[in-house]
Parts: sequence; C-alpha cells; structure tokens
Amino acid sequence: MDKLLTRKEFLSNLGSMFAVGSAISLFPWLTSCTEKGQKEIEGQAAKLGIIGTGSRGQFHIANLLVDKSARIVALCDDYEPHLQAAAAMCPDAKLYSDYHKLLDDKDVDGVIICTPLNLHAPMTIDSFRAGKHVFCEKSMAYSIQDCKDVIAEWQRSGKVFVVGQQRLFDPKYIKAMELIHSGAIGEVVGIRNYWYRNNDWRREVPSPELERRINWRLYNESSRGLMTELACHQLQNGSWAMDQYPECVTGMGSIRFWKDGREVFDNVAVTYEYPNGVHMTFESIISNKHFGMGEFILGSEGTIDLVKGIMFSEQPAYRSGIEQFLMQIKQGILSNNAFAGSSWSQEDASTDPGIRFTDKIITTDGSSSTGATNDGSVELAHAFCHAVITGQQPDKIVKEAYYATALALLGDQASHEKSTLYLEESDRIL
Amino acid sequence: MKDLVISGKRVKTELLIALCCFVCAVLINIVCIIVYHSQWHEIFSQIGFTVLVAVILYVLLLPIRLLVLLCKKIFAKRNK
Ligand SMILES: NC(=O)c1ccc[n+]([C@@H]2O[C@H](COP(=O)([O-])OP(=O)(O)OC[C@H]3O[C@@H](n4cnc5c(N)ncnc54)[C@H](O)[C@@H]3O)[C@@H](O)[C@H]2O)c1
Repeated sequence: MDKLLTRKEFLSNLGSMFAVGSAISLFPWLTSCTEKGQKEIEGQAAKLGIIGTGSRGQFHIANLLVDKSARIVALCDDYEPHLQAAAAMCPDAKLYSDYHKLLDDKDVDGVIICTPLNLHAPMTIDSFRAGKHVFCEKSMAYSIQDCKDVIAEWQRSGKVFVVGQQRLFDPKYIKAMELIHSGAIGEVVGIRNYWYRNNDWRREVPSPELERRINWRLYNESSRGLMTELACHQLQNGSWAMDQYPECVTGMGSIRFWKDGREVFDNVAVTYEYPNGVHMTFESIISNKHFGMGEFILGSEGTIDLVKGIMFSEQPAYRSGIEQFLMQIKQGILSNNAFAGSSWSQEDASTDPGIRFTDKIITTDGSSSTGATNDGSVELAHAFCHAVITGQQPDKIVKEAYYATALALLGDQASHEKSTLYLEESDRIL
Repeated sequence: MKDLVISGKRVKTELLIALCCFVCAVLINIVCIIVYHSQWHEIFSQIGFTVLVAVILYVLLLPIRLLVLLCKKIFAKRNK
C-alpha cells in the first residue's frame, strides 16, 4: 500500500503538501500526492491554459507557478485588466481574449476554467470537444441538465476531468472522513453546515456598465447565489461522510438586508433528507458573521468539527461529583439550573474541549471569496497536472462534484419555490 | 516593631471555624455524590477538592466575620 508523503518529504518535492498517515487505498484520488505518483511524472509538466483570470484564476496561477509539474502556456480573459494582471504573473504565456482561440492552440494539453458559473458548461463541453483535459472550478454547471451534458461529453471524450471540490484534498477533511468511516463517532445522525459573513459580496466596479460582469455572483443569469458559491463545498461533506446522497430538500431564502438591486438571496436555510432519515442543513446569512463558518458531522457517539479538525465525545471523560459542581460554579450556570434530581444534566452545549485529530491545522473563517491557503486547492491543481500528464482520471472527484452541484441547485430551486424537491432517479447518473 | 501576639483562644476559634468549614465541605461532597450520581469512594478519593472547598468557605467567611466584629465594636462603644 502506498503511503501519502509526509509534509516534509512533499515540501521538498513540490513546495506544498500535507501530512496524512492514511492509506491511499481509502482515498485513491490522492495518488498524485504519493511518492509513486510523484515518480510517475518526474521531469514532466502539463501544458496548461487558464480561462478566466479573475481572482480564482490568479490564485491558481500563483500556486501553479511553484508546481514543477505545471507549465502555464496560455491565458484567456475577455476583460483586459484581468488578462493583463495574469500576464504579468506569467510573461511567457500566450494571451487570448476568445477562449475558442485558446482551445485551438495545439500547445495546450489541459485548461483550468475559472469563469462565472453560467459559462462552466459551455466552456467545459467545448474544451472536451477540442480534445483538452479540463479542470473546471465549482460549481460544475448552472443547471442539472447542464451538468448531465458536461458529464456526457466528458465520458465521450476520454479526457481527464476535475472539478474544484478541494475539500477532497484537505488533510483535515481526509482524516475526519477516515475517523467517521471507521465508526469513531458511531452512527452518523445529522450533518450541520453554516456559512455566515457580514459583507455585501460586491466587488468594486470601475464603470456602471460592468456591474453585471464583475458582480456576476449577484445576478440570476450568471449565478445561483449562496447555494452554488458556498453550499456546494459544504454539501459535499455530507455525501462523503454518509457514502450516499440525499433524497429530497426543502428550503427558504430571501433578500433580507442587501436590497441593492441584487437578484440572488442574501440568506438561505435549506434541509436535505437522506434515505436513512439523516438530515443535513445548510444556512447562510451574509449580514451577520457571529457564527462564521461551521461544518459538523454529528454521530451517536461523538461529533466532528470539520473546520477546526476536532472530535468531541458524547461521553466526555469521567468527572467526580464535586468536580462537576465546581465546574458548574465556574461556568456560572448554577443560578439557572435546578440543583436536584437526575435532570442536572441540562441541554446546555457540551463543554468537552474535544481532541484535535490533526496537528497544525490551519483554519479559515470562510470570509475570503478567492480561496484559503492550505485548503486542498494546491493539491487539487497538482492532481490535475498529474492526471493531464499520465492520462489517468482521478477517482471520485467527478461524482462528488456532480452531486454537490446537483444538491446545491436543487436547494436553490427549493428555496425559490419554498417547496420540497426530490433528486429524481434520472438525476442519479453516476 | 511590635510583636504580634495571637492568643490561644484565637487559635482555638480559628481551628474550630476551619474544622466547621471542612465538615461543610465533606457534606457538600456527599450532596454532590448524590446529585451527580457519582461514586461513594469519592468521599475519600476527592479529599483534595474537599480541602479546596473548605479553604474557599473559610476565605468567604472572613469578610462576614470582619463585618460582625466591626458591628460588635461599634455597639460596645455606644453602650459605654
Ligand atoms: N473552489 C473554490 O474555493 C473557489 C473559490 C473562489 C471562486 N471559485 C469559482 O471560480 C470561478 C471564478 O470566480 P472568481 O472569483 O475568480 O470570479 P472573477 O469574476 O474574479 O473571475 C472570473 C473571470 O472570468 C472572466 N470571464 C468572463 N467571461 C469570460 C469569457 N467569455 N471568456 C473569458 N473570460 C471570461 C472575467 O472577465 C473574470 O476575469 C467561479 O465559478 C467561482 O465559483 C471557486
């Protein structure tokens, strides 16, 4: 069995990697991060074209510039300032304003698509037809039908396909899933996700006619709002932890605070139901950041905080009676608690400090809309390079990405219709 | 500097108060064992926490005792 490289080992090869002692057989899509995977592509580089050189595009460029297995040969953006900013980062790359021209470029082996959501499907399909390997940012596409068209074209093309679900490459999520699947928290009984921010989600617009282009996230024609931009990542946790997909979803959403002409909701609350009765929630409000970002897998014997990499037990370590009494005084809850009978254990949140299951965790408050460091994005882009060079499709990524997007889209539709919607049999294509 | 003289009576009183505090702490431990459904051997095994509670009680009593002493002195002066 191949072991994943330790951080130190991989650092010396690549410049960035994670330390996980897990067996690769459990996480086969991580092949590119193993010693064997590294050897397979030694001395080779994938020739890449970046389509969409806005904030996420530039984030990938910055990471790929230090990855020896990547060579950025072409850049494309139809907004000159973004194209020039990227060109400054890779002066040797050819520049295009029309992505079709980039796709005609025989020098390009694979493309990374970082454009607004509504362009993901047409650009991905065109790329496969042009014989390119594709890494498309999440969410996969604007509608479930678009996703199906993308998958069909990918299967026809025989090319490699990767989607920006970087949690699949984040060490703390990998370790957490290993724990969950080994039964460390008992049976999964609930999944709770939330993502709160307090900002208008707007970008500065140099002139008014560019509003819909630059702030594409805020308009229905190009975005499905909080569901495709934020929920998509968190919903994938549920599927990964449960090894199954929800049956139905119900939800609500509204524009409560940012009444500035935007069309997408500024707050949503959706609930998914799995076939075994487990519920997964996603809540997002972008006018209050008190709770920040949270992702929890609740088990009958414990809880895993995915964001902080901590596992809590339902049965915390034994404490003597007098110790519990002193702790209660310390926490100041004696005053509002009936101090008698077996009901002393009130429904307060657990005070168990939990145990960290990975060392040196870098957490994020989820406030950046570009991406966080050490969240698996670097490794995902590297996995794409490995796949382009070897022609080997990384396992699981497309399936996880398809369902994450489908669930996000269904949740968005449910919250617009304020109804319960089912993931149809015809939508379970992978 | 003047020597500080603590009378035998004062020492006895303080020891008695400390003993009362300790007894109270033991009683609290017993109540906790009952309320929190923990184990009876904690009467002995948790002696450290019991002493801690006794010290807390003793310290908490100090301001009250000082207040009582002050009131007594004021009354005594008035009655003279
Ligand atoms: N995986 C993650 O964590 C993560 C993080 C941030 C963004 N994203 C995704 O990345 C994508 C891009 O987001 P962003 O924040 O970089 O947006 P952005 O607006 O900063 O960049 C999008 C770029 O696409 C360009 N573009 C638009 N139409 C084009 C066309 N027809 N041809 C060529 N270029 C075109 C725009 O000019 C712009 O430069 C989105 O799908 C977003 O959801 C993913």
